[in-house]
Amino acid sequence: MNPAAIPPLDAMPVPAPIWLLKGLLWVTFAIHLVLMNLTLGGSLLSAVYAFKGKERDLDVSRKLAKTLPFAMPFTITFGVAPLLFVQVLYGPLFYSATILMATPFLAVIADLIVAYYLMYLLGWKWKSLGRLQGYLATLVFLMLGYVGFTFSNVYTLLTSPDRFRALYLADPTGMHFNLADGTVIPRFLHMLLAAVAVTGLYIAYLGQRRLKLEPELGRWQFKSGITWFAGATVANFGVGVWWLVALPREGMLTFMGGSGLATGAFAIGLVAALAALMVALLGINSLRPMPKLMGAVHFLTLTIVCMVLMRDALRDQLLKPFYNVWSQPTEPQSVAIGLFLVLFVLGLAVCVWLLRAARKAAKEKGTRGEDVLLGPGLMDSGLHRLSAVDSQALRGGGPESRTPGS
Amino acid sequence: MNYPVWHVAFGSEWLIAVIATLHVFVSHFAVGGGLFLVAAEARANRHYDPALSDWLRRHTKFFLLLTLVFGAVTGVGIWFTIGLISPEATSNLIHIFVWAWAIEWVFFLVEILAIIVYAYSWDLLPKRTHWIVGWIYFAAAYMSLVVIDGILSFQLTPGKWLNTHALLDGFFNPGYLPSLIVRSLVCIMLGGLYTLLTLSWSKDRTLKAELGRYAAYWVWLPALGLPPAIWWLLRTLPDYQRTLLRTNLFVEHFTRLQFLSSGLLVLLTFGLVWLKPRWLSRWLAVPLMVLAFAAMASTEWIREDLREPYLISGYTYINQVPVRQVEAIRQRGVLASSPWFREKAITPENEAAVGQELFWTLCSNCHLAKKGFNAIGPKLVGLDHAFVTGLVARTDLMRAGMPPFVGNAEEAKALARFLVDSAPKNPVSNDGQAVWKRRCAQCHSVSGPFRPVAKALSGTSAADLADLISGIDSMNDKMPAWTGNDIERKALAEYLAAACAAAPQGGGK
Repeated sequence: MNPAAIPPLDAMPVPAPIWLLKGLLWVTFAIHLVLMNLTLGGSLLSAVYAFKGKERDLDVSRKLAKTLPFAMPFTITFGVAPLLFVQVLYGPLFYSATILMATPFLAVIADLIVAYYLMYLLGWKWKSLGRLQGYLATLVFLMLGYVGFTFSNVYTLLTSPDRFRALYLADPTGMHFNLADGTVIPRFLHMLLAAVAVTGLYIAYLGQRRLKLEPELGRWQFKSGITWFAGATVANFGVGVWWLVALPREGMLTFMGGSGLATGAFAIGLVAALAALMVALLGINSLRPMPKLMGAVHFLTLTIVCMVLMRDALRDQLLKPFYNVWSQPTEPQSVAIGLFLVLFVLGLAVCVWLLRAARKAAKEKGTRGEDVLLGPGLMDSGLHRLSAVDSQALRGGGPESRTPGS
Repeated sequence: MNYPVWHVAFGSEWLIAVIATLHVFVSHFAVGGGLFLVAAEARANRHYDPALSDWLRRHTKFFLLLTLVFGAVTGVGIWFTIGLISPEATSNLIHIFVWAWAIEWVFFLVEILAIIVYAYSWDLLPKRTHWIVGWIYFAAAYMSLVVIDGILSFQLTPGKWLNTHALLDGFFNPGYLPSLIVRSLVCIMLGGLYTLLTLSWSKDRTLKAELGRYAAYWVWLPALGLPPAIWWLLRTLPDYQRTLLRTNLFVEHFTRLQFLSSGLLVLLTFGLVWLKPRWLSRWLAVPLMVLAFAAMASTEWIREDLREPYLISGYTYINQVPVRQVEAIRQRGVLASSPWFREKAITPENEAAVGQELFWTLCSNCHLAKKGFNAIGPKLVGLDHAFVTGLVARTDLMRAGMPPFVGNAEEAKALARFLVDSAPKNPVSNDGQAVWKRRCAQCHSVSGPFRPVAKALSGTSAADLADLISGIDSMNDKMPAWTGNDIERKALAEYLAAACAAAPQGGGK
């Protein structure tokens, strides 16, 4: 162990109370998780449904694919915020760990850009892709999976600063992953299965919205989504145990009474996950599944919040011999914090107004609001409804009828 | 120093240069292009111009794909990259400006939701509401520029913050306003230029002529405001940075490229698009974009070079050494100050290897060793170890704006050993001018702007100069000892005597 190989704290004090930064880290990361689940799980299940090949499967696959380009920018934006707060709170560890795996870490950017464009291709050109749909969705899934896998490596390596120096001296070209750590794989799989579970609920939600007009298809889709949710959640109990036993003893004990907060979050998270599972399964044969579905969503949200808290408690526990996040000098920039909070509330209000305006207009035009805001590409919104020829005709003459500058 | 150093074989400077330039070229369009969208939409609504509306929809799609995907993700990319290659300065900035970034994040959140709603709802929203959504997008995008400009200009001109460490002093630093004006003008110009690009693909000749002329206004008119704004920005630089304008060779080259490309860009847009809008074609629009990119890239490069030797002027050097730690590190030595070195002591056997580690730690933010962009080895051809050791210890006196060497004498020798080993072993000329370039020109010019020698030496005979050179370090302790042979010394003395006599008088001290 060489604790000396942790860079010193920044000379500037942390410009906020630690609890505030932690709180913002938790909130923004929890939102990021839900959105990330929709993009990662959405791409995977879009591929699975596409490969199943029946018309009803392709319909689900298409809806998932069309959700991707909409969920992606928010996934990234809500990923940026916790990354900012992590850098203030854990900077010396975060920068060191990412430098050790700099090459795969920076490759995330190129990977994201390509995956993002492929999503637009998939969502906007769905029909013309034909049989390629499944393969393209698989490619998007693999590329997004790479991002998650890299981050699983970064955040586990971050908790082992005693290994930094040896890794650096072994290879300073930033090519390390953290696969020597037995928790990386179960941690990543845990996240992946959670993504499938959340996407399952989303599929069920879209299914129940079809119940009125297409009761059979709606019921089938609802069941199909709940099946994914239930299967992934049950499997995740197993992977969760794998992750737990793979942890170093002091990490595991955190959840067994070592820390009140972590143990409480663990217990509540487990119960909430079980409750979400039960309620969702009860909804399968219900005539009005919406309340059950929303119940499952609420319990799952509670689970996600608990998981975020547990993950954070685990990090602080594993870092105990090296780094105490709470003991950093702070000097809150009160005016800036206040300004941020005010603008945050105003910004959210503007976002709500934007969503409402779009939804209202969509309803008035007879399109469902969800279809505008949860997926269709510009193609569907009539971007090209007016072709150049149409517009010429509308204008009542050819281009020669006007003079430039008129 | 405090952090491990990522060894990038082709030079880490390239990474940030490429990612940052691409990002800046798109992100400024994300602001100015947003203003263009609402302006053009108002025009389309006012004149009931369906051709323009139709083009606007397609342009919006292009705008969304370019700014939301490439622009936004490369922005995150810059952040990843600076954390990897400049962790110390990134940590400093995050600690000073975390709330500025958090505020920018709020604007960004509004920005992306607004552009998505805007792009997806051309036929759904009432015209006026749609137009308001466009304005919300532009306002949020512009505010994110207003915030990020505070951080970028702070790096160059932190001003009073260096003494007060007060957030507002840092944010509203001397360069803030002129920098914001320059960036705003550039945003508007790019809004017009990208329009010319997508418009050049349109087959509607009337639309091309009308909108082309309108977009050309967006390019040449704000360009008129650039020279005074840039002049104001340069006025806010501290003296030592302004001298770099005349003494840093990269700055000189890029300034030339900048003037050439931006001048040509404005002339062509004015002469070929504004005066003759029917001439607009992709053969014209694409070269205009290339010129704009060259202008933008060279401006960014100049800005980075003017900041040398700092990442945060006066606070953190470009090689991650905090200014306040220089003396402490010098006293302890780099090896004892950093946990990331393999060796803890220098021996004759490990000297070159330690030198290599020192090189990666202290030099690799800007340099490569053997070959490539800004490689040091090729600049040291024909120089001996003792002389290079002298140069290493005096990096802060060199022309380019280098940080001081923070190692001790042993470490200077080790670094010099590695550098001399990295230099090509080509034969060198002993011509006087070649000797001058090799041994003197890093820190002096004969009569130019950088530490000229002409005034002090004119009238001195070649023989006296030769004597002077051999004992130069005893006359001035800032000079390294002369280590060349007598042939070099005499050739140099003769060259200097002739060059100083020919130099215009009054140009040196």
